[in-house]
Amino acid sequence: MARQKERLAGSVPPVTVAIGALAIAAHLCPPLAAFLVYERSAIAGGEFWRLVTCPLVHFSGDHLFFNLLVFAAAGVLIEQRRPRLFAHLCLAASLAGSICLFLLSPGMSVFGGLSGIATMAVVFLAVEEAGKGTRGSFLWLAVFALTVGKMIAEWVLGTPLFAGPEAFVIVPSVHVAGGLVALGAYLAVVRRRDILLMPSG
Amino acid sequence: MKRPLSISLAFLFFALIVAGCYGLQGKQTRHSSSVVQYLYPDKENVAVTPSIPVLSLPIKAGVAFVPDTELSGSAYRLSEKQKLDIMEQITNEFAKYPFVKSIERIPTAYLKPKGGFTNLDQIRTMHGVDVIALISYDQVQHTSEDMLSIAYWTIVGMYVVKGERNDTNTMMDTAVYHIPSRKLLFRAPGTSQIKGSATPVNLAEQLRKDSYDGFVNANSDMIANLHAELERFKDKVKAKPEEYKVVSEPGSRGGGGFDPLTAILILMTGGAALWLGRKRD
Repeated sequence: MARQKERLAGSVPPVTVAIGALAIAAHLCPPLAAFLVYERSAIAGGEFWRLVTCPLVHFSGDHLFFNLLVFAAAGVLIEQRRPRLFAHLCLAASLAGSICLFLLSPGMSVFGGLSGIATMAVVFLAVEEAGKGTRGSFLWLAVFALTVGKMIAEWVLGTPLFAGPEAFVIVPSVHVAGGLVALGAYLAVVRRRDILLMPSG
Repeated sequence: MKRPLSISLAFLFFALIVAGCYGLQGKQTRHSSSVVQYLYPDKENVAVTPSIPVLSLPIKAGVAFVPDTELSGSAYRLSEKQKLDIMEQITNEFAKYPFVKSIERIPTAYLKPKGGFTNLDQIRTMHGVDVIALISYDQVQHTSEDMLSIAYWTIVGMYVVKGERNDTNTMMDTAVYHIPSRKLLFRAPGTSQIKGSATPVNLAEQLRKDSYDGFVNANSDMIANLHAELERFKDKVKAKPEEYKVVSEPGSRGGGGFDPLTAILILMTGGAALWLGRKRD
């Protein structure tokens, strides 16, 4: 019984749970959301933590629900295998998205949403699983293609792929930044290690 | 001597019936305002052709009570503070939508009776709003005496017996207009009915209370209906892009997200991939 409890506790992905819990807390507590959200003028004034914390803030229940659903599903799978790498990836995706936004979208005064990190998680999981060459690899490639297709459609259309224009002003650069972080990490960490571990000759 | 007494009694009985019937008939007061009379005051030129609204997101909206058009009897009039309180409930409900940048509560003093769209253009300039929610209402209060009112004859009864029955029927309606295009975007009603009783001494106080409660209850009903109408309007905007143009304002609130269909597709495909992968093992 104790061993079972220990195993269960060991399987709880702390980063995914912490990010999910903080996102829900920020949604339920508007003053917390105001403290964490990307606010261009505040960041320019020295509140740099907002670059990292802005993904925790959402503007509606739907916005939070679907972002969290995708992030949690992919996050749990990655974190079970690579807990330390996943924490670094989340931080990197968050920073990359915010810095892209700050440099490329000077007109965007407020931003929030986990989608950049969720995109990173989905892309990383898809390319890593596809690279294993299992029977499900082609489906992981389909997940990757779907995510890339979504980003392209957002970039071209300027609106979410299927949601209406009223949801929020879409910022595809954050998703692209998340996807690039995932590809970069896959190539730099996972692929490189596989090559190094490969038996010579 | 017998005859005059019987005549007097008959006369008294008749007078009582007439007075009683008059009392039971009751009285009615009405308090209303009309969006049509406010926006289209000129009876000869009522045709205002709306153009295609360009909704610039996030929206800056205003909310205001249309000036009173009818106040009959000693109808209770909402104070400006009460109107602002009711409007605050609406702003609190709708400010949380991501496509709403701000909602201004506009005091009735800024709305001229029969001001029309010219007045709305002035409000747009003064408050910087493109969309306005105009609240109109119709409240009727009916008061009558029931059989308990016979106890008023005892004088004490007037202080303790609640023989004054009153009904307060309130209908509120919010019409949301896009000011530049003169287009009605959507509307939603809210109704309330309050039945109460009072002694003659506190009747006026009770009617005032019922009147305000009627507005508050109708407002709650209207807010629920407004949410539903707003959802329908969002579907309409998606379904008829030729009728409504939506543009994003630079310097606005932005976000990134997974729309429901993409999220489900990704999760289902990923789930199937996992299942296939494990099946081999």
